[in-house]
Amino acid sequence: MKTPSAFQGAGLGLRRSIIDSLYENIPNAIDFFEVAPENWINIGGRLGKQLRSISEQVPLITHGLSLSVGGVHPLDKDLILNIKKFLDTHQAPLYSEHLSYSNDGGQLYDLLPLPFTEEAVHHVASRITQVQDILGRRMAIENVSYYVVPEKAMSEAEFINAVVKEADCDLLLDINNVYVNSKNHQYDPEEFIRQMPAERVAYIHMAGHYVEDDGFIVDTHGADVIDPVWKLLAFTYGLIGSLPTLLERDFNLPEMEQLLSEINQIKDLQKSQEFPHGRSAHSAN
Amino acid sequence: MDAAPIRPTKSPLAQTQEDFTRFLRNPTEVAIPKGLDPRRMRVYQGLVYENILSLLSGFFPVIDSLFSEEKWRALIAEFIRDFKAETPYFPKLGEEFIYFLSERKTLEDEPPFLLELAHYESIELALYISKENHATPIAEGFIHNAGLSLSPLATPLSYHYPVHQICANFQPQEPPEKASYLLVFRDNQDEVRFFELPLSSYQLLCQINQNPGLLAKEYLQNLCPENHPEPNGFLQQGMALISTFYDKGVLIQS
Repeated sequence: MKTPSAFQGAGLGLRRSIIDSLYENIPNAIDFFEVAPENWINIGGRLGKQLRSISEQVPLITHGLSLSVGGVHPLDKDLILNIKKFLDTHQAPLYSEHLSYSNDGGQLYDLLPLPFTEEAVHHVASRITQVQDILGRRMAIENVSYYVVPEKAMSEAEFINAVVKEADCDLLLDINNVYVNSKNHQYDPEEFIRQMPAERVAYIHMAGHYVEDDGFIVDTHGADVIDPVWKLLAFTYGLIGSLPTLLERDFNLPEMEQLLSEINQIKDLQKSQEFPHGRSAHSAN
Repeated sequence: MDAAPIRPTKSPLAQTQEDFTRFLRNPTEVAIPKGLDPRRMRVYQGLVYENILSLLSGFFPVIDSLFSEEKWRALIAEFIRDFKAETPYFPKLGEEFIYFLSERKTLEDEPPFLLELAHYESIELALYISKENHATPIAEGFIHNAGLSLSPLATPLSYHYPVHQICANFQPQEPPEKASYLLVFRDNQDEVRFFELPLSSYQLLCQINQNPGLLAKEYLQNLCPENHPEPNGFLQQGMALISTFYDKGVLIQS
């Protein structure tokens, strides 16, 4: 019998295309699943039943896409209330969103970059606070891949720290995004991870990406995880402990065996790390 | 004379986002915001565009197959440029695209059935994911005395064009004389099925849908033409039809 506190170990991003083969026979290696609530809210029928079956067997966490928490247009209260209901229905231990915006009065359905300014810190922090107030729980915010910085009054690490502190929210640390950004914006990824607020990291994301001919990297979630990103994960575990870690794979899905081998690689790394502060994988709430 | 109204000035953050997204929506006419790397801005533009293209191609596979790649891509670019889709829910994006199509004039080199076909293509998903559940069947024989209604998992449809037959090799340029009547229905295995209906069955289902709660006999009496030569035969045939719809779960007790 699962409990929300059983949210630990290694999880897999759940896509509609793989749920049919999974819901009756969840591989032992998968400790939890993650879904985008905007793909599943108000979904009934076969898919709805399959998702319910999954969340009765293992913890289901949620990773939003459309809230546009950094946007300047009004927050979608209906969406937040529907997310709240969804979290209750599935007893989801965690809700996260991206430190970005996607709405300009309409949806662009993508993760657009915020300027690293004081104004943006206060704006996004106050909106995260509003969301947390409606949800009645703390949420986690993810460091995104970004290809340009519209304005830079502080570093990315300073920006993230300021938002997390002011909003009193958790951090979803995406290791692949750290790597992609460190290459595209020339910084030291280990130094960046050292600067993250360790005590606020609720969980970790891992993914693959696409490298263009000239070395420019586009974060596609469409390829296997590469070695330098694995090394960065091991570094992160060494620094802040073996937190629950999710493998994202959104495109070019390989056979389940390949996904499971990446899941097992996460678990091997988790086992090989000591918990430096003597804490277990902590609860998200 | 009144003073000119003071225009609220946008915050720097709002201005940054407006400049950024205006380019993403209309990259051929709007300049890349100053100071931002053009190559990387095109990466963003490509990500936004390809994501919406891929979602809509999934929702409308038939339209995608009928359009040349160039025309389909141009239509998606127009959608992104001209239409502010509001839904945060990805399965609802197809409905936003239908709003967009319905507010725009179909171009001369586009099929005249575009909007009807888009609607037809969206219905299957809408029923497949509907949160409605199947009603518990009522006891056999009870049907004669039960007030009827249409299952929320059944939708009668009428189209000027035979949208269910349209494919690359069959693209009528004029609506045929007779409209097409269809029933789309999610069965108790949660599979979505389509049936072609005769006009009389379509009318029966529409009447039950618009005015639920009457007895089978009452609907049939309403539908029977006054000068029908064999009203008893009409009623019998109608009862058989209602029983069949009832057995399949298309009609339920109201």
